[in-house]
Amino acid sequence: MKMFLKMEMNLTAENITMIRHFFISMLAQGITDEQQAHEIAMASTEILENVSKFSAVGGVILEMEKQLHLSKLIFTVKNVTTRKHFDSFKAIFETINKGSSDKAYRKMMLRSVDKKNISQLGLIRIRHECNAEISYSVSNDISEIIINSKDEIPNKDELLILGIIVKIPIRNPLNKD
Amino acid sequence: MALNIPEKKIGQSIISASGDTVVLKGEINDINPDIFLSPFFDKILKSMGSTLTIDVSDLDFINSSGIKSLVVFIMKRPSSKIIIQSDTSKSWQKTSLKILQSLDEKNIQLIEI
Repeated sequence: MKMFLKMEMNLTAENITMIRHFFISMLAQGITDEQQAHEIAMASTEILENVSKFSAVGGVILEMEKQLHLSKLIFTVKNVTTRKHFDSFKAIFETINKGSSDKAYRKMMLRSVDKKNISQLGLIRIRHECNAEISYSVSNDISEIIINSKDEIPNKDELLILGIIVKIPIRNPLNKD
Repeated sequence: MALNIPEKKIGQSIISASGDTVVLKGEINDINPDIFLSPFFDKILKSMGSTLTIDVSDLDFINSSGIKSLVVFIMKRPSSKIIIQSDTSKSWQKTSLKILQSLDEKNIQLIEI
């Protein structure tokens, strides 16, 4: 089965939960089994929560794609971030991709104990629970993503678009291509 | 001392404790669940005995911030045994709880219902 979905929105805790429930229902209808639908929906929540904490301005673009004859689901989340947050993201990204996912997850859990108000567990959780490949893209053209015209854009030159790309192998496709 | 914290609903999360068992149910999906989990676990730390059961079998979802609260509780506790009651038909319980257990394999036991 082929699928492409694109959403552009501002984020709140309520709509992150609604998106998770929507993905569970949608994915279990023809893309994968219910258990994996929950895993993929969890991944969407983790990334969107991360984005909601670290977006510098504007909203978020979420794309979900399943190509024909490819047993992987790819979703991409883009938001506007600062260089400082991008540098933090990059450091976490490098840590969570070192070695096996279970060892990296354990390491991040232990590290989280001393972090105040942040867990930094979202990306490694996605890698481990979904057996996912995670990558990112970065660009300077923030015009792609500004949703609210009333948003004030401080230090525009300091802003970037960060795209987080998650590729999840589909274990049990319901409709084999 | 036996635990006695009546069931409380915060958003879609339901937390309670009685006897030697902590129960987490529903969905822990607040952006910062530590606001209610941290004081809850602090009360547990003050009253818990040598063995504590954490029943998450009816916890359908927990975000990574909620997992962090569990990790902090487990790492802060005195040298007590923890039994985690789980339902492995919920995929997060099958994967993330095993990593949580690996933080103290000798003293954390996973039980599937």
